[in-house]
Amino acid sequence: MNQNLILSNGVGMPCIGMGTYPLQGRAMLKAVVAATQFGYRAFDTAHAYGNEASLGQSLREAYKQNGLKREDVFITSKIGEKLENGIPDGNLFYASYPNEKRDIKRIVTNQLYEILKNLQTDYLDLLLIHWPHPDFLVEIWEAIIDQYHAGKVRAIGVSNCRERHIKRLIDAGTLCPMVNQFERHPLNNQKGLIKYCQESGIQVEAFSPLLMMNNKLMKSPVLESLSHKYTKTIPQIILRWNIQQGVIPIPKSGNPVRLLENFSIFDFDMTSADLEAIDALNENYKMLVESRYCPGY
Amino acid sequence: MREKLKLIFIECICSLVIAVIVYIVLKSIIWAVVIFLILVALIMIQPVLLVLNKLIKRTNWYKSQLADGWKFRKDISCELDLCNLGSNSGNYAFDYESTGLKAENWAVGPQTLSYDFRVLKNYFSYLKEGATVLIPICPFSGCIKDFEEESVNYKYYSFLHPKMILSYSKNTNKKVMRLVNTPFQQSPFTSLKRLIRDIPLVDTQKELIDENLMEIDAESWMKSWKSQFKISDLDAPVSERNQDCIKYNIRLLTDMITFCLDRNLHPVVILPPVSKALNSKFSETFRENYIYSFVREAIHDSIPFLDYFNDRQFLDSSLYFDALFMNKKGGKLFTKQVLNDLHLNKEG
Repeated sequence: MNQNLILSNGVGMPCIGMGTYPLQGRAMLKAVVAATQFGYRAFDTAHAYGNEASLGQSLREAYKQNGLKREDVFITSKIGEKLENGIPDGNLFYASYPNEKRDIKRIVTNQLYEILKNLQTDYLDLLLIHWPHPDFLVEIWEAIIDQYHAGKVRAIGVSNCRERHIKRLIDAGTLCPMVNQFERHPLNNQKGLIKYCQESGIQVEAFSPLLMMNNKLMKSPVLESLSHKYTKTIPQIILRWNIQQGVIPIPKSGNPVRLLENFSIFDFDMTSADLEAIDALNENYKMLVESRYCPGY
Repeated sequence: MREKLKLIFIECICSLVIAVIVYIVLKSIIWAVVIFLILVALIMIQPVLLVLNKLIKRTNWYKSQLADGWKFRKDISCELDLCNLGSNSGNYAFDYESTGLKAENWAVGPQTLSYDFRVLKNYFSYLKEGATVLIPICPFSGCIKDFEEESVNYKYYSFLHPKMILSYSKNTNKKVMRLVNTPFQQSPFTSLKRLIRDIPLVDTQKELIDENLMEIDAESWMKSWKSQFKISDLDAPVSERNQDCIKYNIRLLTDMITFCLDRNLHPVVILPPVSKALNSKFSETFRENYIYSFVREAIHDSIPFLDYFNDRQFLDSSLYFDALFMNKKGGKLFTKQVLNDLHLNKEG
């Protein structure tokens, strides 16, 4: 079943979610309505994606069609920069000169206001920092903590963070993030980072868990043999591998058939040897090379 | 490409449909044919431009316009063992072909230490944990903060994040990216000219063996540096202006080293060799004032500093295509030596 995992502050979070980038408009509506019918309860977006309003409207429609209420779903968004040619433009969170002072609290407050307005809700379940912008990382985190204390968000966390980024936040004497969302798939299993997060009580969330159905994954002999063994598809095997390792995958699809396939993963268990066989596919491959998106990362 | 061809095909079909409609409405085969030909001619401009741009992108002129930007626009593989930064001297001194290492030469010429750092900040995620970062310095690396002429930094628009580019301008970005993507439309006359007669590429195979030519070239380098950094006597105490630049670069080099160490990368500072003719022009006093004191202040004992300035095996003229830059043969030999010294040579 789509059980809730309990975050370090006691908030429950569904063990699988739906990624929404780059869905918009009718495609978003169709996907979200179908997803809620199939049982999805967690939806992931970001201010940078520019699709929050679309998700907000789609969720409203989904509540109506499926008899759900706002509190039945778990919405995640992220504080971040606008995208230009797919890359965060850096206008908000990069200092123009060393030690520049910037009103980060105001920027975060305003952005969260817009996020809530777009999503047609008065609170978020989870708010993340999209990228650990080096010049103002601690300030952004402190501003997010303020919003958490103000009750605007139920849980807070980070995205694309390595151990050193999280340590920087902890060393600043602030709250430890409750979630870290990063790229994770069999070609980059992120074992070390997951171990650190789990030991620190940080829930791991995996974006791009299926690596956009990358050929290397979809034609992997290991995954193919597991697919036959469990009579499940390769995406289902990969998603189950995440769940059994305590990682929340957030695959994106606009196709209801795939959405259903991605959600039908609660009726089988893989052996630890099989999980390890998937771990062994690791080659530290990155789809998003972090420093290109967040220089100085 | 396939998508574009598909689009052209669809557009041609649409033109045919329009021509048929014209024929039905006007009952004139001539008008239908004229309209069809006009539409097809308009459609065909696109593939012609596509082909022209493809051809132009192969010219040395196009490549020289974007300096070393191509290194960063290709697919860079992840988990690199090593990279080097640097300006032109680094660019020509390192050649990782057949070293068995996953390594990239990220030197861009001409480049300041400040932009070395910007390139590193923008691209270090391609390096694996524990990778080596070679930071080459030149005799006058300490004397320059950044190039005053803005056009020198245009090359960065094609591969650096906007926040990594000093005085970034959206208009310049548009202009540069137009040249990158559609050189013909951006610069039609020069493009056509260079298609007919291209400019020669730097011949890195060349060996400047003629001692006289080497001496003339060394003199010319010294003259231009002295003028650029306003130095009349190389042995005189360092001017206030240059001292200020050196202090700035010491801080920068220190920050680069800290940046690497924080990310579990191994920085190595390297002083590449120069030809014998050029080497002889730098006195011990100069070396101490401009190079060694700079390096000593910037790095601590645990950071390797590999000094090849006086290495006899690299003084030979046959390893250079001019007094400062190594040729292909020199680059290969030098890279092999550096990798040996760092115990990174996988070649055996």
